[in-house]
Amino acid sequence: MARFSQLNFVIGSLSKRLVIGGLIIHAILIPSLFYGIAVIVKEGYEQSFIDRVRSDARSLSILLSKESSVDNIRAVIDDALFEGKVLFATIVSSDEKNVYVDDPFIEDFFFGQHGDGVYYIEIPMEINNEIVQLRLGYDETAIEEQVQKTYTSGLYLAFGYVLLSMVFGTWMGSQVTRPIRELRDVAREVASGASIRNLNITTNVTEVRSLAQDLESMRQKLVQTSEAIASREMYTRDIMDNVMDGIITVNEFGNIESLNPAVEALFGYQRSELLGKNVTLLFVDPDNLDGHKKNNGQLLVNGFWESLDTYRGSQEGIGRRSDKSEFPLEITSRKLSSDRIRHHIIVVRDITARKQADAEIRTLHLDLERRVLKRTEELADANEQLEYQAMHDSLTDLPNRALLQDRLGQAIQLAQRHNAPLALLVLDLNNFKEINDTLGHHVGDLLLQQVANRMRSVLRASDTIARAGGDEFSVLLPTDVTLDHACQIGQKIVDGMAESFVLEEQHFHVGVSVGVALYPEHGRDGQTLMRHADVAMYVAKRKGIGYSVYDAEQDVHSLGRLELMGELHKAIEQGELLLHYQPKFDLALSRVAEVEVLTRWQHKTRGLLYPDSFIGLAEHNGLIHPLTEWVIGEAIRQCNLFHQSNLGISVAINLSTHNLRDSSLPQQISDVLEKHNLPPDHLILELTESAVMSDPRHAMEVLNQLDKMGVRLAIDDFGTGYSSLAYLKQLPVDEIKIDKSFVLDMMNDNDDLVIVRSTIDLAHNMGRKVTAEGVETQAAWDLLEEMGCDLIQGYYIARPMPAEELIKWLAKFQHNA
Amino acid sequence: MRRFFAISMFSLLLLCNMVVVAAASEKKMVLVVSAEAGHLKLNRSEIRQLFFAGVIIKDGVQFEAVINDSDPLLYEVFLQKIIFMSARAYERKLISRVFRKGGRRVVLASNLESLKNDLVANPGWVSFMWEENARSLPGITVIGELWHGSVN
Repeated sequence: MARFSQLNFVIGSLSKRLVIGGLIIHAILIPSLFYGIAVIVKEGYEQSFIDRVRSDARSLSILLSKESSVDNIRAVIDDALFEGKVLFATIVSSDEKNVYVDDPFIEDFFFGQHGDGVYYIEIPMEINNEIVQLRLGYDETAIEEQVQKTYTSGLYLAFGYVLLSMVFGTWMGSQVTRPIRELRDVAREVASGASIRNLNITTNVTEVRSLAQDLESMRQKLVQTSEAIASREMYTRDIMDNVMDGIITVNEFGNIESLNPAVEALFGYQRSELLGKNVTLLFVDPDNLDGHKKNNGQLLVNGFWESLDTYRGSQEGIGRRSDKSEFPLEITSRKLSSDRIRHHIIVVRDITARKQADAEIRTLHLDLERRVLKRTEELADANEQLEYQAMHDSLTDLPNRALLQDRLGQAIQLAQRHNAPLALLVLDLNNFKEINDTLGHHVGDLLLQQVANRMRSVLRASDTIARAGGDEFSVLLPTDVTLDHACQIGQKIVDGMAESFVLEEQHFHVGVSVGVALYPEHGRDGQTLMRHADVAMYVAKRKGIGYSVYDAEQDVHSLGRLELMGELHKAIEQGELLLHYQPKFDLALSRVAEVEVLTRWQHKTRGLLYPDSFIGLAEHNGLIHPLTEWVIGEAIRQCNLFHQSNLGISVAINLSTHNLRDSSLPQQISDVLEKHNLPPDHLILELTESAVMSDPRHAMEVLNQLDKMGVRLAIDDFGTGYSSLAYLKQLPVDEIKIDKSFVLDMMNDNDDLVIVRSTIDLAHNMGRKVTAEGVETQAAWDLLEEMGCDLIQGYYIARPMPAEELIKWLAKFQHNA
Repeated sequence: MRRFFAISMFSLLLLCNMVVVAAASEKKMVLVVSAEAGHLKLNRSEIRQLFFAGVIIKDGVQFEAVINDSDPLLYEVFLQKIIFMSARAYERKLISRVFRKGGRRVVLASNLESLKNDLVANPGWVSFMWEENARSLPGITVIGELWHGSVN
């Protein structure tokens, strides 16, 4: 082994191996080559010698055969010997007696056969008819010397060649290995990481140059990779140093191998105090890490890490600082997968703040739960109340229409199941609208409450009394009701309402109309029953009777009314409504100064309808607002046309109670006036006493706004309602219109005359103008003019007419005047 | 007496040994043909002509030579006694003759058994060998002596 190491040291380098290898090859091949050449040359010499000997011996034998005398023979032989080629010559007779020369003879057949330096040959020949043997000996030494010289020269040449090869091989080896040594040196520098210099090897050896290029490429990549790794490592180190969580790596025994600054901050140890120590030093009870108990005392070493191996996710534990204080922490452990040895990375996080926050959150959560519970109970109560409110009328505390429909549906199902009839009664107060309009909603509401109480008193508890809306009530008699019984109940209700109601210390008589419909006779579903009871109620109201049972023949009228209600909406949209204008004559100016706008409906099948036919429907179904909007717009547009025609006519539009409840009315009128560029004093709004008095405070606000805009206001039908002079004094009205009932009868009734005169005086004293309606005679005209009335209006002057006719009429009227 | 007997016996043994050695060094090279070729007489000139790739026709039979190369000593004796040339010169001569005069190169037999088979199979073929070999090979007949002498 030692010898081999020594040999390896001797031939360890590439150059030595190249030289020795070359020498060995040449030491074997070159001598072999020269020996082979020498052998060939030797053989050639020998073959030439033998050839010459045999040829020469034969020629000599032939030559001697031709000689007969012994002297001649001797002379020839001597001559041959004299030339020096033949060293020995003998002629032997057949009887083996030496005839001429007696010399020893051993014939050769190969060159140098007997090592005596002489080639002996025997040739038979015939001398004097006797067969004799010519024995000759040729000198082999010249050939042997030549062969020896050949061998010697070959040996010298081989030795010289080997020597030259050694020298040349050494030089070549150094030439080849020099760049390789340089490559080796640079590779060592690169491997040690100490060199960043470029690999610059100058060599003509292609393989070495290619190797140098590959090594340079490898070096550059290695440098790049090293720089990237260093950068990445620095980046990772920065993260580790700046992360808030503590990061610890431990070996398979749980001993700490590395840690980041956060660990020092968390546990109060120096790095040197922790490195190599078991990580359990940092935890109060390692069992807390996985909740397992100690197992055969291996917990602190193996058991601890077994639990971390199998652990997934984070867990909470208790940390122990260097000052023995404890704090809650969250521990996350992972086995380093790239490591064959069990190494772990442990991330610890101080969760003191989180624990405190958790406690606060738990407290808040409990408080929130209590609040939610309380609020839930309140909401349940509120829901129950809302549900009750949704199903009951807040004014009368009676079931509303929705609950009535629900109970009606249930009663019908029950009646279907038991095949028993039921009855539905619909009630409507007869004079409620007037009371409501004149005395106000609060009085109307009191009336409704008293009506409800009175109905409760006359009906059974099992009967459902509901307020369907407005002054409409319904009564459901759910069980086994006959027509007679239903009629009795209807009559009972009518009788119950006959007694006067006391409202704000005043007695009022309010009639009631009751419609009766029976299941299944008058309808098999709730909707039909409701509609038919409604029809019966309208019949009772129209006929002025207390109650009425549904009759299919009466339904035609009701249906027509309902159809009309549906068509009114389309009529507004499709322009079926139109305006007629009735002139109002100014007695002082002796000309028509104003026109009252009156709405007409040009119905496709029913012809021209008057406001009595559809205004009530419009108020009942909420169409009064779009209807009013259309009337105002159209009237102002037309008034603008009058204004542009220099007719000097203002237009007067009637407003209802519902219009005065609309707070947007002033703005709406203002927009239309602005749109048509009409001065506001060309517009007069007429409203009844009842409309104002139903909600005087709100009406006052609307009227004041209109007055500020410059719109003129007039009290219509003055003297017929429950007007209050106190309110009248405050109203910003410009004009008072005396109801036509007084004007029509003033010529015959002195009371009416007094009323008309007093009203004119009252209005004038209050600074208002007066318009008298219902002027149908010249006498009335004259009397009113005498009493100082300002404006008159009536059929005597002109009936209401379309705008086109009005213009023509005005031209004619002025001409006649 | 006893001494005389011992000397006599030693002398006898020595004589026998000498006879055996002498007999062993004496060789006879003979010319052989196939036994079927019958009796053939060739003089030395015809033999040389034959072995220089010449053709001898006797009694309508064409004879050709086969060189026995199975024994280097025999071959050298043949060259020295019959051809009078070295082996290389003889081969050059044969090749030169073939190129100059055409015909077939003399067959060279390097194995004695194959030579015998060739001779038996070709009655016109003539070759040479040691006499003891010729006697031991059936189907071969000796038609003449080429040389005899010592080969030590």
